[in-house]
Amino acid sequence: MVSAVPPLRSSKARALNTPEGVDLTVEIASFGARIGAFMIDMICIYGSIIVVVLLFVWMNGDKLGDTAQNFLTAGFIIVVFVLRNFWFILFEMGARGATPGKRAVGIRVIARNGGRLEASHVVARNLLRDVEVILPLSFLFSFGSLYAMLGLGWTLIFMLFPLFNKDRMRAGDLIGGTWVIRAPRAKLFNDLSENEPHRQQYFAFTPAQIAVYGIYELQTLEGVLRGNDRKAIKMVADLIREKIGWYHGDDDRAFLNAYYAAVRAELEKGMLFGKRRHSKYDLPA
Amino acid sequence: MNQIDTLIEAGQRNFRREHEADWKELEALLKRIERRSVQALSVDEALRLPVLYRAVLSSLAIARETSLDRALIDYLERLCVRAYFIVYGVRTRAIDGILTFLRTGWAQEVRAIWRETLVSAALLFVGALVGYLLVRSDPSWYYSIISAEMAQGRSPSSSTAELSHIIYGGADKQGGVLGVFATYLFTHNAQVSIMCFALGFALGVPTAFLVVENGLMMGALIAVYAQHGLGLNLVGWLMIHGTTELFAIILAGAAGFRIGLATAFPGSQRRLTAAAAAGRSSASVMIGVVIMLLFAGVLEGVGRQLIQSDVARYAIGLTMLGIWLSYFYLPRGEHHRG
Repeated sequence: MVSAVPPLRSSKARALNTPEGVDLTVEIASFGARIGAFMIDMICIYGSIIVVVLLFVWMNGDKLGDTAQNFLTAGFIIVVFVLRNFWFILFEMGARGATPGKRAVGIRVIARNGGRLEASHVVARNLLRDVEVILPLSFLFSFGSLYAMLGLGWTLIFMLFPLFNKDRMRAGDLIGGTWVIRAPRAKLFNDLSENEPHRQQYFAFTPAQIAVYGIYELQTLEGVLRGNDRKAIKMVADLIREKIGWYHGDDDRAFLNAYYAAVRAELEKGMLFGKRRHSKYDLPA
Repeated sequence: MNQIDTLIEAGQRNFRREHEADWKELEALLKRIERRSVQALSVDEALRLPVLYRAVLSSLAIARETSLDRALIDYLERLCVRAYFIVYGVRTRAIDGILTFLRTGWAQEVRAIWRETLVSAALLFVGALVGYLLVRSDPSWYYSIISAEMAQGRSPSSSTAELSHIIYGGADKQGGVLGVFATYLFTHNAQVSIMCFALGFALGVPTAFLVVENGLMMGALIAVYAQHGLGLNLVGWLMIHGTTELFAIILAGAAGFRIGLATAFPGSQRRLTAAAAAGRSSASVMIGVVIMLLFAGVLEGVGRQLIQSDVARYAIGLTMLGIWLSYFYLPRGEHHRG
């Protein structure tokens, strides 16, 4: 299930230092997402080439003169060349820093130094594709001979390069000075602590009941509430009821909502006084 | 204490209420920019963008310190990341970038890899010399250097008339498909030079092979013609486009060596930094290489068949060489970068 709230800390998180002095977190895209994006782009590229071929065949009738036919053939060669070599380059130079494939899986290219993604970054990372994809495939399809097998083994090093570094960089990213990061859209959800405020007054928790949990538990609870999975909510509600000794009412959602609001208010108050209670193992403020 | 609680809670609620309009406004602008381009915005909106970005960034900084609503912090964070790349990442107009590249950028990057260029050129000419000497000493070498497909009927056993026909009799045969021929040559050469560059990543060794191989083939072909006393005539025929094309291949090889060297021997820089710096400058060189090959393709496709005089062939070839050399290496008062 895709949860609305991503995991708290990830080994793929990288800090981006803005000139304004606020660090932003970006997350390195997974190898799987990269392959998915690449496949989609390949389908698009070869799909377009097929369309161009069909157009070419359709237009290249006998009615055309020699000159027109030559123009058409030359144009055809150029279009295929541009599609094959510049598809990635042209799209990644746009404002979104992503090809249609990358956009579809929600990833984009950025400059590793956090600066502007220049044409030279994009060109470098994409020209290297020739040794990473074309070369291994050409060895693969010249099946059989020992020479081809050795070549395949050698070029697989380039192809699988992203698996051997923690930033999932291809050879092209290394040379281009780029990262591929997740670029998910986030929706602005409502504030859970403002849910059904008129009912929250029925839940009067004692300070001891509220002081059980820390930030980690609170945000896990937020994930459960936003996930909206009835079974999970029931389970968590039972667990917390047991822990704090609260046995009134049987509306799990209302109870969790109210408890979340109470704990969050308490922890946020602590933060204003300079105390962050990271988890239940920290002492309360 | 209760009063403080109420104040704090009110503060939290007000924080969101007061700033939400800004967040939504920025989100709407970003959506439009990403769908089309920055040009989709009016002047007022474009001026508003950095202001909104900073406002949301400041909201994020406050939310991180005062709020535990993860969904809210994530939302603000992602909005800021998206805006950051628009505010700091969008280039000036493409045409300005292209003009700067043609005016100074390209030549600058080519000059920056002059050592690699010398090595690459040396490899090509040594290859050519070896190819020449090998085939002169034993013509059977020709067949192991040049594949049948590449030879196109030219071999040590061809007659003088046949060989001469290829370099002087092209017009009647291929006149009709000049454009197609030129385009094919361009795309083919561009593909080879891109591969030549990309292989530089394997520490430059395969790049060196490719450059030497090109030289060998050229040398072997010249040797075949030289045996029939047509050596200088062939050189003239090759020269029309050859000075441009070989220069481009030498530069592609040099760019490949640059990334191989920087990755293997980063020097005082961090390896990643060195690789990225080398990649950026050699990518600029490679954009230039593709442009040069476009010229070479036109020269080869058109010039070869239409220009029959040896003198004109040499003149064109040497002029092109002179143009490239002065374009790249003549100083033009921009020694201080930026």
